[in-house]
Amino acid sequence: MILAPLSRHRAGFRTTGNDPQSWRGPSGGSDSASELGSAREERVGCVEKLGRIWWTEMTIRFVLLVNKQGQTRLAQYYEYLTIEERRALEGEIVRKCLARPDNQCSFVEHRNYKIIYRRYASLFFLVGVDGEENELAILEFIHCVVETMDRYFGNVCELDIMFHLEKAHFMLEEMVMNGCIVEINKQNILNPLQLMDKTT
Amino acid sequence: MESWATDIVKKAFKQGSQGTVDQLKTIGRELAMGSQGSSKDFLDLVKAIGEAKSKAEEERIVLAEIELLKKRIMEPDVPRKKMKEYIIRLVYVEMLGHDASFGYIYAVKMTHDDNLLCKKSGYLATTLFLNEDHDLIILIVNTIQKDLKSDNYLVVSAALTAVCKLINEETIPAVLPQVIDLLGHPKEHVRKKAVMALHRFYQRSPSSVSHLLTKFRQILCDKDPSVMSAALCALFDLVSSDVKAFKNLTASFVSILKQVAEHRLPKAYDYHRTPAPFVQIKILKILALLGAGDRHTSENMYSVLLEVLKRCEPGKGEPATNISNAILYECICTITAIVASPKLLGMAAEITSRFLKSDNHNYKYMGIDALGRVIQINPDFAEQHQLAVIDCLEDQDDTLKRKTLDLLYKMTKSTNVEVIVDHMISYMRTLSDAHNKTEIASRIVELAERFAPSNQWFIQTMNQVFELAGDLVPAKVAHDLMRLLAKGAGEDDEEADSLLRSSAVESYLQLLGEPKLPSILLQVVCWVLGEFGTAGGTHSADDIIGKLCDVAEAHPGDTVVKGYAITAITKICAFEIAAGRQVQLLPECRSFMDDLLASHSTDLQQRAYELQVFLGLGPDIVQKVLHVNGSGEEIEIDTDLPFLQEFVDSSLANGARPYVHENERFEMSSGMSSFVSTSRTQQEPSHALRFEAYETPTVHTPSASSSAPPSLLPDFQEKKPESPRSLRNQLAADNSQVDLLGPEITRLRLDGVQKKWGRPSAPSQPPPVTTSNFDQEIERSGNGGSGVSERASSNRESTPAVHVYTEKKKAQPEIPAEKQRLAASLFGGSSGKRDANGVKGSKPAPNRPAAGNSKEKIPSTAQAPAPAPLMDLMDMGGGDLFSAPVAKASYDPFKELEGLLDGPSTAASTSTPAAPQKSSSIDFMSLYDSTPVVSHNTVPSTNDHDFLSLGLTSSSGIEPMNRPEAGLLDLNEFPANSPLAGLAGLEQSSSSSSTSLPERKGPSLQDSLQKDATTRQVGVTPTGANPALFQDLFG
Repeated sequence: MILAPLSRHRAGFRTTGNDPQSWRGPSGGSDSASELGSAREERVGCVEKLGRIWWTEMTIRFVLLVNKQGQTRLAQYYEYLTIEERRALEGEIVRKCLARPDNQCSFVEHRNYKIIYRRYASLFFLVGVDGEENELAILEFIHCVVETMDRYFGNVCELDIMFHLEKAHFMLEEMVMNGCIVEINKQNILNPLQLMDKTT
Repeated sequence: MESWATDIVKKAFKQGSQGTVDQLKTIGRELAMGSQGSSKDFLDLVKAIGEAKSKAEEERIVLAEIELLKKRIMEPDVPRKKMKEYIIRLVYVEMLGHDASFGYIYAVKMTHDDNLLCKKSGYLATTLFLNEDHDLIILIVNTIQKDLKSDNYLVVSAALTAVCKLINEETIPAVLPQVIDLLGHPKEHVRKKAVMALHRFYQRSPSSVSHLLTKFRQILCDKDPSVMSAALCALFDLVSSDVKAFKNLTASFVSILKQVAEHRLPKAYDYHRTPAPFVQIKILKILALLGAGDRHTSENMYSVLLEVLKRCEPGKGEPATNISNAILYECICTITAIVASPKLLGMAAEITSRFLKSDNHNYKYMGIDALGRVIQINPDFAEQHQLAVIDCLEDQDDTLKRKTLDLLYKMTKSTNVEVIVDHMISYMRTLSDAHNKTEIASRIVELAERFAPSNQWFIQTMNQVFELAGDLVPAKVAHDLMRLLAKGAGEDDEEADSLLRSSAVESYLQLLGEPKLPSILLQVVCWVLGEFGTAGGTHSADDIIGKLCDVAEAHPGDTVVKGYAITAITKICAFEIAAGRQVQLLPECRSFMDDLLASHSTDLQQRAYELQVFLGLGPDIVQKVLHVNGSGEEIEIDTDLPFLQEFVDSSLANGARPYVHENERFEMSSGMSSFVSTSRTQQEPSHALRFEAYETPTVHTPSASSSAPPSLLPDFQEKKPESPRSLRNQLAADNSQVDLLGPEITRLRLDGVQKKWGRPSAPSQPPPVTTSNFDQEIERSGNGGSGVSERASSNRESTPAVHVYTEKKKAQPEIPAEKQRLAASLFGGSSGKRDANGVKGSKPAPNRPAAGNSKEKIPSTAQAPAPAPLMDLMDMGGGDLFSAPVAKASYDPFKELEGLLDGPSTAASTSTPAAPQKSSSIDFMSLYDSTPVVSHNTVPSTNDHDFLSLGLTSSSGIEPMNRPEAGLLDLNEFPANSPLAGLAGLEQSSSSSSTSLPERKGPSLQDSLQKDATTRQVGVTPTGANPALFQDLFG
């Protein structure tokens, strides 16, 4: 039942970065407030006209971990679907993706989603995005997730994720918010987790 | 069950020795877990789920778990650790597809816990279980508020994470002030989450944070890269909703991107030695939005784009990483979106080439996508990569194939439409799911309508689409196809039209041999067979009727198809009778008709009766009523129905009541016991409480209901003292007064009607087609041949395109001829050359027919009123219509009919005076051309007006004059319908139940008329499947 280790990170991480002071904010950032005030009034009307736009602006719609038997191991949705919808969607996607040979693209279009998937030993990572997303970047994001889990669990495997489902979720929560990728700095991602482990 | 068990045994056997090692490892893990405090129960559950070999087994485990949890979780005083575990188990239950709603409340409770891990788990479970509109959310808002104030930054950030998922539009104000405060939190971790929370608020309800736009700008300058990148997410949304307001941030974005690309961020933000790739991609996306169509803004980005491109290029000898290619791809997207410099475009093209040439399918996919973007700016570019594109098209990989079809869809022209549509159709054959099929079918239809080289091809293509996608195709497509067949290519080329039709008939007869056809295709088939089945003379009426009966018989449940079939039979019989031949219905047809005569569907019944009537008529009248090939003829309609004016006048003179608009009629009858001499006061008691002041007693004002413009009201008020009846009399007698009643409504409606129906098939399919060809032609001559798919290039030996192609040929001599041919037909340029060399494809070279066709069609375009799309033409037709009937020498239909039926009638006297009104009278007979089915039994026996009054007087309690006028109104609304049909329907309804009030019948009669009218107009059916049309008509 134990899996072969997920692929290890190749490029060594340099956790000690340059001096953070070398990072400086952009120079043009301090616009005068008055200038913005006038722009704001226009925007209010515009915003109201647009109404709820979040549907179209969200990039990642769900992250799914499935083993090669098609059993769900982790599921995080960034839009609400009922249990039945999730079940149906997962079934369809898994059937589609798992049947594809290795040499074919890692992208599959399904309904309104584009699914980007990557296989690590017996685990499939699947990410559903909307139409206008950079597929290659998502593919690398998946790898980044795996690297992060690897660093925390040390040679992560299916059982690690099963036994520590909440921790895997916590990591994902740090990396993706509102369907956007917000963090890939492993130090930042794992810091809260490690702090929590220390206190308990 | 047994097979399932053996399956497990087999699997276990296969794993054999591997299994024991695994088991040992599992035990090791378990021990490790146990030491961390997980209970035996939990370990067992996870193990059981992990070892489940089938879905059924998993299901069983989860169901047992649910039962267990239901009992355990409710026990009092469950220790906190245990509770946390239960909640994770609930998460499992939901993850595996079962409802765990019984435990939601415990997850919510868990968020109160002091222990951070428990609290976080509680929040996690809550976000996984609940959507933002769940009832329990309100319980959690308080906890969140409390946690946002916590000293422990991890608690605050846990609460902010929950805010992002749980706060809905109504609860935003409850937490907004606190979240804004947290933007200044010392911990960057918290600041980042606060920004994301605001981002979420913006997504939920933009107005809630519209006063915070400056904040977002400030956060962009945060000294922490994580916070800055979070701000980018929010700004991306803001910019995409309103580009202009953020143009002044361009310099900031450019400078951030520059710093990131130059590796000025801490190394921890690298991914595989690429500095903060997701930040770069996000900024590139924002720049694409800012620079679109703005040369000045775009110019500010040139240098940073070059820098990013340069840094992402792989060094010598090392392969490019995925992530740098992802950034390169994003650069292409940005470059093609902004007003780019030639240098940047050149680089984008180069990278695209590299992607396309790669063996990796992922890169190929990105390459195809990038190519689609590049050719929108530089169409010539496609030609270099034709072979790569065709490779992708023919690849086994479904994703790649689809992406390539997307690309081809974007580059379709009249020269390559046949090949591309061909590919789409063969791809559609392989599809099984409805979503994809619908999409691709609609694309094929769109391309075919825009670029069809010939009608013949169009029809064949449509047939294939119907066959494959069946009922996923909208009904409009079928109607367009029928219209095209009816109308033919051009007026002057009758021969080609009949050829087209006979070929359609042949193909459909063949098609009927297929076992299973979708309903919509059968409808088309029936219509075509009915209309043109016997026209060519190759098929006897009996043959066709037999086929039609077979169709109807094979689809007993499909009333629509049945309706089409019986109407088609009616038409064929009519043609036969008109040609003077004796019609002897086949026994199966007879039984089919008898079936329908007793059908529950009134529509089918009506159609069957019509057939029956036709069978009893003589050739003369049938010929008049149903022309051969009458479907394509235009119907002129004068909505004033002036030919009835005489009749109306004389009736009014004889003391009949004037017409009252339907709305008013209803209002009156609802409040009054009888129509005769009522006053407002009498009406009062029947109403419920009235809160407004009483008006002065006056005429019940019909204008109120018909919403007459206020300016007209004074006029009306002057007439108050008169009795309603005399007023109405006046109104009806005088047309301008009638207008007063509801001028706006009536007028508008009529206009709409005319435009929609005036010339039913006038612009049909050919004009758009020829137009597009024509445009292409113009474009060509204008550009002097700009490259791709230019058949003109065959004449120019020295075009660069040809060079490229020949070079390719040299470089890759092993490319199969088949592929080359395909390439040539897709990217026309080189095909010209090859054709000149005499290498002819097995398929008909698409250029030829297209070219020939466009030449042929130019004159016909000139004939068409204007080379405008369908709807425009309709509008123009509407304008013409007013003059059309006047110019047309028309005749009085009643008189005509009367001549046919011997036996003078009183109608003759009334209708004769109408005859002089030639100039404006409607071309009555032409109505029948496309509406073959009318209850003619009433005509020979009954004189129209007698019949009218008969029907009217029999309806009790109502002034007789209401009815004919009602009929008139209906006709106004449905000019396509024949008045006689309306009258006949009227008679039916009045005779069937003479006691019931016509008011009640009114609407239903109208309904049936509506249905009828649409049906006939679109060429057929009774489904009422075209509600949009009704809406158009009725506003």
